[in-house]
Amino acid sequence: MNYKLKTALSKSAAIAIAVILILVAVAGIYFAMKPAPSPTTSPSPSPTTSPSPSPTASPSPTTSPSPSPTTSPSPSPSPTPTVTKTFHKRVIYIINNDATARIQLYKAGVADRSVVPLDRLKDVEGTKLGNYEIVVERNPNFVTLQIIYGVFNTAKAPLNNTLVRQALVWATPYQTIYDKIYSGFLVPLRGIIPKGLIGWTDYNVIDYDYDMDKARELIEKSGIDPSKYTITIYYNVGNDQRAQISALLANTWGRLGFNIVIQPLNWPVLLGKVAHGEFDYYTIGWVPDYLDPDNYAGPLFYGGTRFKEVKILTVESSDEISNLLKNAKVFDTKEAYVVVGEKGTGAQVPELTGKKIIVVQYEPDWEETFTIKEAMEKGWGFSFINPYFYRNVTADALIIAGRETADVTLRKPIYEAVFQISNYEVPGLWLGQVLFVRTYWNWVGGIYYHPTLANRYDLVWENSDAPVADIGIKDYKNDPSTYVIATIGWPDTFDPAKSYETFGWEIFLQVGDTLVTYWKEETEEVTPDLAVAWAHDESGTEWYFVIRGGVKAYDPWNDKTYPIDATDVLFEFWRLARSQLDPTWMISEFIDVNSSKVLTEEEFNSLLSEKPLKVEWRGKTAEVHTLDELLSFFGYEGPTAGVVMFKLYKPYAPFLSILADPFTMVIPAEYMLGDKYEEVMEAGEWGKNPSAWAKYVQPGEDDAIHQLLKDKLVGTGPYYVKEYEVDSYIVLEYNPYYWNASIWELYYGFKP
Amino acid sequence: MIKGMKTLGLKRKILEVKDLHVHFYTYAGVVKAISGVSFEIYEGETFCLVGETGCGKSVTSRAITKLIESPGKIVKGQVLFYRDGSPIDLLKLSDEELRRIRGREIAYIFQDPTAALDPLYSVGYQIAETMVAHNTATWKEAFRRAVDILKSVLIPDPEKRVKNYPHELSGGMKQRVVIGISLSNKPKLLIADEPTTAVDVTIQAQILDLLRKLRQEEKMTLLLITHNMGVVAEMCDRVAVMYAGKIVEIGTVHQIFKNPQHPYTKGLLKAVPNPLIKIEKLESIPGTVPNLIFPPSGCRFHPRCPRKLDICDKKEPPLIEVEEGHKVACWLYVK
Amino acid sequence: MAGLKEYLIRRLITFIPTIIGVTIIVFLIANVIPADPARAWAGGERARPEVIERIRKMYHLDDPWYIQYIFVMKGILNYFINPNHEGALIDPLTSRYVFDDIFLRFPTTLQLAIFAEIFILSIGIPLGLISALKKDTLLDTFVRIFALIGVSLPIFWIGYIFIWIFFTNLGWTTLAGVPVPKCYETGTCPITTHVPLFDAIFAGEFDTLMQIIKRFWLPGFTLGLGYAGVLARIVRNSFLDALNSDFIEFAKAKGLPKRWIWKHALKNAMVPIITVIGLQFGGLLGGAYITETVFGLPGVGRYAVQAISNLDMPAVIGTTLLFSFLYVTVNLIVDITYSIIDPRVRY
Repeated sequence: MNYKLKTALSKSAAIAIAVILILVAVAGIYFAMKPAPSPTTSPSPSPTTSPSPSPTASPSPTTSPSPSPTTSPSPSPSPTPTVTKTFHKRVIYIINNDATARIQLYKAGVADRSVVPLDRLKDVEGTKLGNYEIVVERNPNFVTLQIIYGVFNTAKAPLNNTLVRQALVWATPYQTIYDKIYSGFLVPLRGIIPKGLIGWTDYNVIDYDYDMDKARELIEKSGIDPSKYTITIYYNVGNDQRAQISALLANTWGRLGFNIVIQPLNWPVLLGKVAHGEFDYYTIGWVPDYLDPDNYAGPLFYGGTRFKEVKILTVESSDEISNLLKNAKVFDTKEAYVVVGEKGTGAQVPELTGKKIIVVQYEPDWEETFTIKEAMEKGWGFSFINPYFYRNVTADALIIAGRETADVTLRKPIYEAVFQISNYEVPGLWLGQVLFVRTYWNWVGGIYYHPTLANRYDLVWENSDAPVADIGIKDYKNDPSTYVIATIGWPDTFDPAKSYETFGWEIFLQVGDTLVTYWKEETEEVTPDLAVAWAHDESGTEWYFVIRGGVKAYDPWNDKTYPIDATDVLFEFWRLARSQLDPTWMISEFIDVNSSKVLTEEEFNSLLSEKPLKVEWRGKTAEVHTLDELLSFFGYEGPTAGVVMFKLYKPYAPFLSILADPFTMVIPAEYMLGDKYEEVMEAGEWGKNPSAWAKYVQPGEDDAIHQLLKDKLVGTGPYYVKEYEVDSYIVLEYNPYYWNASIWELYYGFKP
Repeated sequence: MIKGMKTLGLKRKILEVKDLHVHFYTYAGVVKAISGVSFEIYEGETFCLVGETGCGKSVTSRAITKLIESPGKIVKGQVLFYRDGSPIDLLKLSDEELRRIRGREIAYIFQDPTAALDPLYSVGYQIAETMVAHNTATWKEAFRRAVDILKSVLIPDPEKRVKNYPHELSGGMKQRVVIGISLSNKPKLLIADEPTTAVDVTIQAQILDLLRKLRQEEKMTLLLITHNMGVVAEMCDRVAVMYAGKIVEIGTVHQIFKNPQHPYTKGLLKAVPNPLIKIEKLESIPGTVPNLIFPPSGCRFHPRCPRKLDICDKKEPPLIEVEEGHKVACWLYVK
Repeated sequence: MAGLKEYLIRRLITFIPTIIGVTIIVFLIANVIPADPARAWAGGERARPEVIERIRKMYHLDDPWYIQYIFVMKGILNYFINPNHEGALIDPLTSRYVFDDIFLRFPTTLQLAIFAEIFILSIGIPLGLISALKKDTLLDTFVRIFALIGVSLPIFWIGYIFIWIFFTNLGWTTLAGVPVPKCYETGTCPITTHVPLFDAIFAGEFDTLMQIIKRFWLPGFTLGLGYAGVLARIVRNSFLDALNSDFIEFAKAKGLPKRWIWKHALKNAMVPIITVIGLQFGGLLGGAYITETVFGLPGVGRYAVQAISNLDMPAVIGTTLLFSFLYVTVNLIVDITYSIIDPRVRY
């Protein structure tokens, strides 16, 4: 190439590059001014608050569904006569672990809902597309059941001294944490049970606040020399909020004279340490598994005391107490006195008048009770004993008592007493309770709030004139019949037996049915789902569930359907317990699956004739002698498919609310067992002898059923898992065989 | 090769360098590498350019075909090339015209044969490409002729060698290849810049023999640049002595050796020991080569000259003829 | 090319010890961490002790490190040797075979690497050449500044800006999913390499190809920018070095046309350039964590980082094995190319 040509070319290349850059800059600025082009639809976020934060993203509270038991605030423009409600034929989850990228997806309308960090909500609020905008709903009067708390190692000095712990609790800058770290979405919590469940009380509790003087007083009173102690604050890497809290606490607690060290740890490392009691303090959160105060008092407060017996008695006057108890602690709760003590005689209490008196009498079994030391060695923190390694026999007795009675008038004061203990003793630092907030595009309608369950997306709709956007996954578009949610993480597994986080449970809620469920915003009582009726015996240890007939499970992987009956139900519950995987403690702890069994309707009828059963629902109670009586109590007239009897180890008041948890969804046994179905069922006598199934199903991840379900789930719910790409997206499609599809016709005029 | 003045009888000029100035623009300053160099070369002769390292002889040889790269620049002068009798100023030609002359009518041999050959291509390819570039052969023919060329430069086993890469050849063989490349298009003028400096003494002799033989066969003019007076004595017909970018003496090899005029030339000759005479001490010229950014005023040799006159540091001496064909630039000889 | 065969054999022999060495070192480092991953693998703070025990036994966590190492390596070997992956290493968190998880994600990383490489080559090489030819001019300075900026700007920052421009405002890219050819579902692909980009081309699915381009061009460009800057510098420097070689002067003296001289210079400059390109590509194949996260691409980079955070030892070893294999292979290819270009390198 000759020299002149070369010069000319490179000169022009230089000019070209410069011009291109300038054009790009100008274009960028120009488009920054312009509003975004044609709207796409955006998926809405699922409540991603998880008890075990995934190390990939800060699992701290982002957006949660709103708590509105009675009112549903709906800023969405209500459908006009020309705009109709469109049924969600499809639900698509888009996974993107980067908050900014998700926000862009959300704002562009590719997602109807998105997980947005609390401090970025203001960035998305008010974004417009056409007539619609992104809405951020806040209601300072509504709290979720999610709590943030800190854990003290109560077995280690100086944290083994209650006064020291109280001092540290007074030396915590709550308002700064609420305003700055949680952007105003955290509110005070003073004890182990959150507001919204029975047991929460503000009666006769210490109202801690940020008061350094009080803190110093308490340190003096405790008699320790803070400079002799080093407190190490742990937090898990990747969680910014906990990192900031740690920094604040290091500052204020340091001013009390302690040496404070902050140490971030990887999540698995932290878990290992805290299970063995190798820590001083760490911050953590909790989201309830089911709607009962025992899901807080149990895992988070129970100290592992074994009892020979715990009895609840009501007495007329406090004089009787000395005949019942050896020693006594009196708790003054709002509606009753709760007196707790060891069985025996001679306890002295002041005179108690004006309120009901409840006595909890216990007999501890010290031989069966493990020592704290043993618990630490064996790494039992968070499983057999609470995370603080704190043992308070009184509290333990109360917790056991609260489990075994279903009488709310007894449970409430009992749990309030537990609350008071947690408030006074502060084995944990009760940082706060998360406030309700949620965000979505207001072309979405029907969103409701439930404290433990996600929305069922067939009960949520979109306006038919909502804008359409290309998602970029195959040919899917975010149109009104597709609900697109931009979220983080990935479900741990598609096998309900192993899934112990909110993402998985949200999916199970869409693709599966449980025996009972909480309908929309209902929190007080469950509604029939796959079980049409239930009853229990006098002792409360035998529960009978009548299974709905005509339910078909759809298997999209083989395009088959399977009919569901009571044997499938028992087999799945049996399998959950057998698998010994993470969430199944809720089954194996309370249900003796090997003593449970299946009955035909005839067998059930004949059982009822000999032994009538009790039933309570919707404020009514009854004793039933026939199946028909039971069914008409529940107002059910359709077909049935057998009866399952669950045998409980002990009566457990919140039993029904566990059965509403999505991980207990029913899966057809024929699908799970494949060719072996006949053989296995015969061995277990079709549900009469479940323990025989043990030969065919192994605990753990190696089991063939787990291996099958973890990738290919099958259920009976309104949707099925159509396809997914790991760490990228999940597509759910409406189930054409759904047993309750008639409600779709009712609400939307949609027929599958 | 025939020494002496007899060949000069048929002389026709082939190259004439007139008042050539080359400057290098460096960060340290402007280096006046050659300032006013002029000489003529006659057809068929071997013309030698002698001097110490840094005197400007290599620069002069490059400047002839404008092979000077930035930061160097030819600031003044003419290089007249007599092709078929009529002269053309090479410095005024376009890049493309010069390219056609280089490697074809005027060819080069450089000092370090390893550096002259591209290590990634076979020697046969590098020979062939010279021919194809000047359209003297097609690729097929060129590869065939490459074998012949290797034969002509006395490389044994040329059919095999033609496929070898440079690193598979010894220094001497590489230099032969370089010579072969240069001669492949039968140039009229071969400029050899210190062709033997980088090889062993034994190979030196072979190379020189080869050059002599080829020069005679091809009737080629040779411009030989060297600092080795022995090579000069053996190879050259006429010699120009350069110092600090200027020609200080020019004449036949006889004249220069038997009758050196310039003090620098005398010093050079004295510095070559005669192996037959016992010497007590090696003679050297005191001092060092001057800084060419700020060259000495007047005669550039005056700081080292044993015969310095007053005028020497004030005015530059002109090049004057002391006998026929013998010129010297020294105030000693100016009447 | 006689020496080439021996050279290759020698290189291949050192291949395996290198890879094993890398995995041993990584394993040892991982074992030094005083953490008990069993609990995390079992599901977190609410894991039952029996479950934890089971996991400890299954993964030999109580045995000395070399037993664990042999267990892990055997498991990996079984994956490749046994037709049904019998006895292969299972990941404790996903319950899938470790290499199933890895191979699920590798095509995404590969596609990202390819797109990035396209940009690296098409931006880096021309800019480097221009810069060399116009040395010390304004253009040269500009290209060097560009290289510096490309390397210095954090990828996520560039990524956010580009997402905002090209996704939110222009819609020229998508941020969700990884497009696959329709023939995967119907099973009618003529050739299945499991890499959507290639399979779509083989199947002639033009619209799928457009989808793939739309998805990958922006992350590829973002990722490639920094590397392109580095490559431009290297191209510039090696090209200049080559142009200043003595044989180039001789080539000019031979009267070779300008283009032929460049060919000589380029071939000589190629060796360091190809080395850098090869090493860069090898690095890209290891996944780009930040780019994958920002653009929502489920690639190996993200997987590896998550595995480390989760102390998921089997996954960490699996990905390390993959990376070292890829890297050693790329190095080998670079060395082979090297020896093809440069006859001196054939000892």
